[in-house]
Amino acid sequence: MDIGLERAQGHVVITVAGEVDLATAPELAAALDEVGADDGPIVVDLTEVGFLDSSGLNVLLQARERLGGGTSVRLVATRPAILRVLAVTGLDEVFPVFPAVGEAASGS
Amino acid sequence: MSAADRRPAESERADDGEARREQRAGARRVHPTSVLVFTVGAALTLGLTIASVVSISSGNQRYLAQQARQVDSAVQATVTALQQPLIAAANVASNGTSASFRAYAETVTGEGNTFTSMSLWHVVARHATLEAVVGSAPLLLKSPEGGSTFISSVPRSTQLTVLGIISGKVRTLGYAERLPRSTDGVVVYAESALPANPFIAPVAPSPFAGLDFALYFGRVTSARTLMLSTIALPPSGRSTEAVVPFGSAQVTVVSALVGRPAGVLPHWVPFAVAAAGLALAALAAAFAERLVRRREAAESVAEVRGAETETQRGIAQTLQHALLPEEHPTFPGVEMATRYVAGVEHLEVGGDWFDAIALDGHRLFLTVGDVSGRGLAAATVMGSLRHAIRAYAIQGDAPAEVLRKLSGLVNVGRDGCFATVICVLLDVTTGKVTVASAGHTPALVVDARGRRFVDAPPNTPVGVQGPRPPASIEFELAPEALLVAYTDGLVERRGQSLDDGLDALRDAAIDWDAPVADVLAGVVATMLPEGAGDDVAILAVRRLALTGAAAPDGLTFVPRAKRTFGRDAVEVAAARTFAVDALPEASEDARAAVALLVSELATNATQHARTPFEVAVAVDESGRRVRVEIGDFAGGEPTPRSPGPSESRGRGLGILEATADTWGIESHDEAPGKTVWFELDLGPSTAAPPSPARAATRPGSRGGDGLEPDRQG
Repeated sequence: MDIGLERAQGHVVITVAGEVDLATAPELAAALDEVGADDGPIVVDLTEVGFLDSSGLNVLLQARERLGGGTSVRLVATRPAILRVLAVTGLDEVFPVFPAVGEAASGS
Repeated sequence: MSAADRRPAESERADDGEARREQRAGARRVHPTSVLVFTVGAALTLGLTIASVVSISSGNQRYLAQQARQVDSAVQATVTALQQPLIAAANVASNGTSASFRAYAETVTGEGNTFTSMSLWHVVARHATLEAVVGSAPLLLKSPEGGSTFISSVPRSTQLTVLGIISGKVRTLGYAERLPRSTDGVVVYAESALPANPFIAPVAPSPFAGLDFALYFGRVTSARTLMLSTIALPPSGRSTEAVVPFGSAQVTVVSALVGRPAGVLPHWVPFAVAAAGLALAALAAAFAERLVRRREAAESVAEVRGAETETQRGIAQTLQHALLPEEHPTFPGVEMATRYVAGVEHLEVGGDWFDAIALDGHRLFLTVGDVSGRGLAAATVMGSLRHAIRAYAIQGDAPAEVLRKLSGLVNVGRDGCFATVICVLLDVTTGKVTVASAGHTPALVVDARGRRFVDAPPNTPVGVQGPRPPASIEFELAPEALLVAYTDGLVERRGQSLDDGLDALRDAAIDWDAPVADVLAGVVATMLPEGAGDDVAILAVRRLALTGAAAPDGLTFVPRAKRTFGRDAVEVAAARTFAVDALPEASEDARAAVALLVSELATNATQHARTPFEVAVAVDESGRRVRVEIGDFAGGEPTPRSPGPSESRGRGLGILEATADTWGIESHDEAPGKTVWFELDLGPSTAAPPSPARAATRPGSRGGDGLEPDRQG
């Protein structure tokens, strides 16, 4: 799994590629932990993620809790497998999900 | 006479020659009697000949008229059968989306179905737009303006609007439906192909089977308008022609006399009578002949009457069969049977029905209903309710919701009839049953605990406004338990209370453990020893015991791959790759689902059991279903977890519940640890569509080891 972190005007973009599971979720957690509440919302770009299970979802939820809920963590996802796991867990109603980073950053 | 008068005078001067002459004269003297006998004989013969000709002619007329009536009934039943799916589709489209229209239309369109094409149109200000097509492209599109003129001119009507015959490669009939009182511009258009060879005689259960007729579209009888014919054309011998309605159009029925109808005198009888009468020419013989003919005539009338009654009852049964499902679906995990018993008291078609709809790989929607009244009107309401229930059920509506929506389709004040309906939703894997009843006789459940009626909340019949929305009851149907739904004709007797009838059914001394079809035969024999007075529809379903670890009965899984993985976190990825690689033929969706579930369960094993784990992949013999087992070796009893925000196991089980077709947990009998298993269909359309609601439901008692899904969000 590859992770990139980019601080932009008023938000942070974390780009993830590969598979997020029990073994790799801690890396994602570490990246998320680098972002503070003052850095603005985190946009987690999952476009290049081929696999995501509840280990990854838990890490994302923890970050959202730490940053005060709401739209503090936003997801970018287009792959059916990722959208599906978000849907079956009901988390697509917890995280705002966007088709592209630009839209996620502006929040619309 | 003058010569004869003279001869006796001459004989007074007698000689030998005169003796011979006298003999001859004696013969001549009986001549008046002979003439009388002949005259009487001839008169009788003539009378009998005329009588038999009249008898044949009236028999023929009666037969032709009866046949014309039957063809008319069959035509009306056909229109009803064509219109109902269109009404249902229009309702679905009005209440839902074009996707729900497609989902319904696919069940009635295409190979082996009534329609070759069904399309959804939207009419706004006399302009029609095509929104969805199921099946082949409508031939209507080739007409000027792409059919927009026709579609936009379809009136809001209770009558089916018939476009007519479209001449293409295959002659096709087009029909359209726009619901009366609709305001949304929805028009459903459908096409069905006419048989390439109209001379192929229809066979049962077609209501046209066994009739001698030709059917033309419209009033013109030409090869171009011929829809169906069971006779050579033009008809030889007697025929009648009648024009009957066909939705908004008309069809011409040419009914012909082919062969000798039962109970009617053969056409050569008049000649035989004449010949016999002339040959006998004797009073006694003529009387005898007359007596014989009289008796025959009486017998033939009785025969014709009997045959008419039988035929009439035959029509009713044929129509009923044409309107009921030809066969119920076979469904994994259940054994199902249905019976329709036509009542002896009525000749008309009844309004009883049953239906079974497979919603997906594990859920069945069953209905039994009874429309008040009889005849084509009741049958029409019955058909529209049956199709509407089908549409709503496929759309995903629960039984109580289906009843609520049906109430808009029938109104006792407007239609003069109402319907009692029972809707049963059965989840074969869990045994969960949801029953909603609209004034219907209670379903009977037979299981190890005994026999009892399902105490569903009382709702008013469909068509009668109730004080509150329909409600339903939920319970679990145990493995091997039987559920029987039926119409009231089974338990209602004159001079007997309904409770007595229900008691008699519950206490019927039959082998309730026999195959379901035999149970129904036993129920019918016990409850209706002298046949049914009223029509009776019965449907019974038994949930089969699950073999081994709750695999639906009849599935044999063949092991394909098995491997043990270590406790390290990276083993989770190895396990899911291993499982997916064992299923190269599975659809992309199924592979993704298997990867997700194996990942979740492997995570549970390494995180919570903290032992190595084993993954076993098996595929059933038909190659359509996969079973994956993930076992751990944790000693002791599994311990209940303490819920926490970072807990992933609960969410994992939620995903399992939402994604697997069926799953379960078993503790190992001898070795320590437990095995979690799941099954999935491998086909292109795998598990149910994503549903957050489903993900949040608890797996209930199936786990039984303290594991619970996490509800946090």
